[in-house]
Amino acid sequence: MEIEAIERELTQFLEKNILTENVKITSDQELKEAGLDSFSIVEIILFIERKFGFVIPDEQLLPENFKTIQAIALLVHAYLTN
Amino acid sequence: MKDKSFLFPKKVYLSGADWFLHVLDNASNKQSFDFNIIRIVLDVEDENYATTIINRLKQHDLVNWMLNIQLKKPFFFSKPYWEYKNSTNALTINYHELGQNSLYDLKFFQQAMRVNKTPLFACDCVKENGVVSKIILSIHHVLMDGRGASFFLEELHANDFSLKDRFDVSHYFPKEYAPKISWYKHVKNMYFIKHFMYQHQSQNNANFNDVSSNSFKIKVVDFNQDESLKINNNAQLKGSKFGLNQFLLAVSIKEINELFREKNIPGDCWLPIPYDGRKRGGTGPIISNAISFLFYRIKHAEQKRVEAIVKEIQFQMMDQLRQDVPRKYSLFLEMMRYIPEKLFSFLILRASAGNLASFLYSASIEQSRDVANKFELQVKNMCIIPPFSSPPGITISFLTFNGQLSLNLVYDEALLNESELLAIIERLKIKLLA
Repeated sequence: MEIEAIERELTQFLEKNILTENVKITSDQELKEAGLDSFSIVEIILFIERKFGFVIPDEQLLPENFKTIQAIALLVHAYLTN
Repeated sequence: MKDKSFLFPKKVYLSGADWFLHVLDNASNKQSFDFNIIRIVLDVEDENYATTIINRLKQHDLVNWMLNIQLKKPFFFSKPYWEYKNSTNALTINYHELGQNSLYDLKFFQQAMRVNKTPLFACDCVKENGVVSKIILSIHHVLMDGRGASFFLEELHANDFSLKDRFDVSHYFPKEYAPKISWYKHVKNMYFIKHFMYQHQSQNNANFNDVSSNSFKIKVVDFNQDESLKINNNAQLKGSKFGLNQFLLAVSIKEINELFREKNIPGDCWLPIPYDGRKRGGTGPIISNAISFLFYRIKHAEQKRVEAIVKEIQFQMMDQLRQDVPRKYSLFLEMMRYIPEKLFSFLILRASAGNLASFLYSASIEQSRDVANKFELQVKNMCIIPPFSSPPGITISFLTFNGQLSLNLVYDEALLNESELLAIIERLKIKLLA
């Protein structure tokens, strides 16, 4: 799966399930800036588990990996290609 | 002020959590429920700020609404709602001189609010040497949760407050929750929650339920910028992967369990933690407790290292989110609005056997930055005092404002004396800054 496709999946998930109506998010925008909190990050992690079928290991649960959609997509892509 | 009552919905239904809080308060302790009040303390550095905020409060449609509502719970199989009465109650600002007192010893902090008997919103100003130095907004918790309160603050400080005549009040009120699910699914969901709660509550929960004087005290501890930074760093070092909150909660649990042991109270910490059910990135709803709960049980917390407690909290949080517990609990509470108050109250007491929580905890870590930075009219400093409830008789809350952390404690005087409290605060500081 391409990074762009992962980004699209993540964006759709956020806009449909986490963000309020009409709030849009770009892949390089900081998630905190868009109003996401720690619970939202956990929701993203659980979405990745369901959608991409792997559990992000504890040592990868770092703030920098969950700063933007781009960063999350890179992490997911690395797991999928390995 | 223009009468804009035609803008307000005729009925604003209480959310499941609103009604739960109301029934719980009534059921758990007849005297203490009147103090389930969120208090926002705003520092005033110049008189213009105070005048502007007071004027805005007097003009605010939502304040007018809050001062003129009545709770209705008509019949079986009908939901409770707020009904807006004719606009007769106007906001009165109460002024107090600080004098030699400390702020939280002022008598109005002990003033009760009673649903359907007194206004559920109040504004007090504290003067020092004749000049207003603090504005305190008091809001009954059945009306609003902490996140709603921070949205309300944003409204008050917005740049465009006086520029436009507001006719859009839709973000004030919750949209009525109307999932298209059958009663069969509701009942099935109820059994899931019953089973889940049974697993959690049937064990030995430590609590202070036997000691209750309903006389409470407030203590606020401010950390400076360096200390706040250090606490942030410590949270990461101790493995708090999803922000500061799990670390603060772990430290609080450890401390309170140590207190249980000192007072020879057996059992483990069990506590419900509010989970904000709003979609993110919006500005409302302001009214209603749009919350559900996550439930944490930490065994032998006094013997564990903070890192281990953080890890357990994170595990339990992810496990419950994976099981969709907050949404299912919300759905359960929504359903319980339909049954009569006395029956609901009986069921709560029977299920919990009076054991509602070991202590109460809330954190407004990720809120209120906007009020400090986004608007022209800025808050210099603020504090949110959590509601008092007995049992369990002690509430701990943390707030980060402008990069500085504060620890806010509300406690029953029957549980702790002054020196015990100071010892707890010292130990909390040591753990947070270690």
